[in-house]
Amino acid sequence: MKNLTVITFFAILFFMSYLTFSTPSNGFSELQNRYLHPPPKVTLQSIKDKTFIADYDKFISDHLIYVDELLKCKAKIELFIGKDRINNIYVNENMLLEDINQNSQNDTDYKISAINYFADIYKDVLQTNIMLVPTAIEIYENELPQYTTKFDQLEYINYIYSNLSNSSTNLANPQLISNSASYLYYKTDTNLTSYGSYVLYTALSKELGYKPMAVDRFNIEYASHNFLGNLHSRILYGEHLQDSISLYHYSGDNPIQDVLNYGSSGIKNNNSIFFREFINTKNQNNVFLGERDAICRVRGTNKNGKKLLIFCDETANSLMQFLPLHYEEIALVDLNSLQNTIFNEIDVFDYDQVLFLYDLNYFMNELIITLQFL
Amino acid sequence: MTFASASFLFAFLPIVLFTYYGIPIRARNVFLLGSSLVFYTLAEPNYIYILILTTIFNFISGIVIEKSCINDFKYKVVFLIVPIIINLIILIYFKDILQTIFGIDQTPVTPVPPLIITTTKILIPIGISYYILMVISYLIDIYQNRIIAETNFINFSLYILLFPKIIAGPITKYGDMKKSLENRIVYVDNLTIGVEYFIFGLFKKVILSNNITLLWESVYALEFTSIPFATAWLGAIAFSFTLYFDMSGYSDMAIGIGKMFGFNLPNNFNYPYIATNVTEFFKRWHMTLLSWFDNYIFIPLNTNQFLIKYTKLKTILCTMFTWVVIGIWHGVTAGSVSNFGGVTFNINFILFGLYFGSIISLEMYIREINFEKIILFKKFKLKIHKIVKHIYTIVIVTFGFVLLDPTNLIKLNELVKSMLFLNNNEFANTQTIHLLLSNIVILILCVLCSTDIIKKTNQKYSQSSKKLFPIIKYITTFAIFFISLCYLV
Repeated sequence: MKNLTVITFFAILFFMSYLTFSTPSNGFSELQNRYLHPPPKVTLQSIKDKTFIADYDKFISDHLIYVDELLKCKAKIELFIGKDRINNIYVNENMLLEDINQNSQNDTDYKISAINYFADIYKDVLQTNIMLVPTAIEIYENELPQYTTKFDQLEYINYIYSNLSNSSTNLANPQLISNSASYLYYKTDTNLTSYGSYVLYTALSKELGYKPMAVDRFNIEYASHNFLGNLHSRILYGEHLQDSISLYHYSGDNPIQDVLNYGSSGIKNNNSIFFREFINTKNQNNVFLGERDAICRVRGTNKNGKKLLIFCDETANSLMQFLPLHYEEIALVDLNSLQNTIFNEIDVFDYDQVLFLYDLNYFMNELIITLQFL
Repeated sequence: MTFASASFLFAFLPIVLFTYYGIPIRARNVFLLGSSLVFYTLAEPNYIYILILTTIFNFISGIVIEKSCINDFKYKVVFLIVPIIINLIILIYFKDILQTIFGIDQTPVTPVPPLIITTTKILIPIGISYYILMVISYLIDIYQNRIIAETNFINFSLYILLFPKIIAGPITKYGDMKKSLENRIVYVDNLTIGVEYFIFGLFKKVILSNNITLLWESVYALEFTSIPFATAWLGAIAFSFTLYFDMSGYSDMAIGIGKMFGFNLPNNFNYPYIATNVTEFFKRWHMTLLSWFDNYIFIPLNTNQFLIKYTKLKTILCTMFTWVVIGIWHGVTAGSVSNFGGVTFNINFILFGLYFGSIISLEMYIREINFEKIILFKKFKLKIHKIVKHIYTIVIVTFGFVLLDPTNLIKLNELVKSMLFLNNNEFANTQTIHLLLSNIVILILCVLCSTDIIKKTNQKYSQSSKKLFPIIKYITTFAIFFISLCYLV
């Protein structure tokens, strides 16, 4: 038995190392839905500043043979030992809920002043609106484990709104909470479902000045019942919580003329907001607008001359099932990936209204506002 | 690179191990030395040249000390003191030396209220604190004729730089390693023990330490001015376990890897949490380090006739001094096992030393008290139960260890107030219950693994069930290994 212990240990080391280095990898993990760490380059500088060994460690961790199985086991072990939060995600029987960390006061104040700066510049020519969308944890607070305390998103949103000038604010919380019995957020993803987006669409109507269509004016197509979203990808747990993706088709005339994506590789054109090829991939939520580029222009068949510019994250994607009914053109701008080369594609003066639309977690922890792009 | 990383386990270790056993015996020391330098370069690339230069310097110093002793040179002590001072300067003033010579920048430090404690940022290259203690013991042992200076530079360098122990010990004496450096045979029994040590050490580090530290981080993220008494203690217990499983896990892995290469590195932790007093606790805690301080600081000071003659007072002063040094040492080392690179050094490490120095001095005198003679004890036949002694030890140690948290002195101040119920906070709240419940399994595992219950159970069943026990042990060992692997990705 002693020999066996030694043989087993060395065999595990040898075969796992051998298989890790000999198995070809395409550099992308379908299950984790992310690009894997590439092999680091050995340079004197990278060794000196310790980035080589840090990157090498990430490379081996990412490419380790059976890494997905190990990650799945890890999640199960964590739950087994009584943890209800894995990788900042609360796990319960009904859904995965991402906990959010508050950003610094300086960062918040900078973002407020950036939006105020924009609203002030354009106050005479267009109307600036803002909507910060609470994450699922705020709406489904009752799904959290007992005795858990969480960051108060409503208080934070109110703080932001109270410090904005020359902007109209839209609070989504009351409408989301009143509809919380419905399927508003995906169980395994941070995004809103199509119905959740419909609720946002109604919540935005007052400030943006349109009359929302009743939900029964849409035909609902269930495109998928096996969607496992970004929260599942992060912890590889929750296969039993598979989500459904529904597509809302307006029962009247097709409101979409075309969708133009302005990326670094040029302009891509599509005649629908639905990119059905993504239904067969892990990232099924990309069915709405595909892999959106820095600027995406949705041109509608409604020729009322109204144009809306939205600075946004993914939250706006599924909202495009509804908003084009009221606008001739909607431009979606991702400030984080905007570059000088395509910045000129957007002229703010062409638009009548501007909307800052962000999921609160993205706004706090990921959004980078570069003033030159405002 | 740490032992508990995928790059070590699935790249460095297999390459070094399989090459080591594939090359001729005479080339193995050179190969291990080369591997150790590569390991250190990957962990602390900026300080490798200092390590090499000081190794050469100490190698020569050892020979010079020996020659001066053989010739009975009048001022031979100078040849001992000078290299020790140079080594200490490297340890204590490393930051300033680096700043002066190489212009390495310091991280700005947040100012703290003047009445509390001042903060200085010291950059201690990883492993250097262990390295310096080893070379000092080597030089003193030569001076005191306990050992002969090593004349083989490869063997000397390997003693100092051997990669399993360079990062966090155990601290070895040259005399104990000399034979292994010259000639070592690896037996299957030893290799098996090495594998088991490594796997259990990995488990301690990645499962116990890394998980219990999350509890400490959760508590640490709270507003300390309103933290309840029970939450503060829960956090302190988590921090104490973090320290223990981090250090002992790393030591176990080092011992295990050492055995894989034929070195028998000394045991470093002997279940300190089963101790019934603080003195005993520290006889079981980081044993190689504390015996170093005992042998090279406390005993020489205490037996030195030039100091105060009154023995009891002298012993107290020597104990206090030794513990202040231990506090400073722990301070510059705490966290460096898991966080490679710079460590914030706070004056509270001196408080740590004074705290434990006082407790241990006090215990010295309490042991002299015959409780049987105290009237109350005599009258009611009272005895202090072992459980009470355990609780006393754990409370005192847990409280003392929070002084080692090096990140924020203002928060530390508030935490200490909460732990002593000095700030009128509540006893516990719903958050305390959530923290306790969501970490209950890991807390129980920590308690189990910090005592000798598993060891005793092993011993009991290895005798009574000779056929079944090895199979159960084999399955358990690799189940633990598998679980640990899950946490490496």
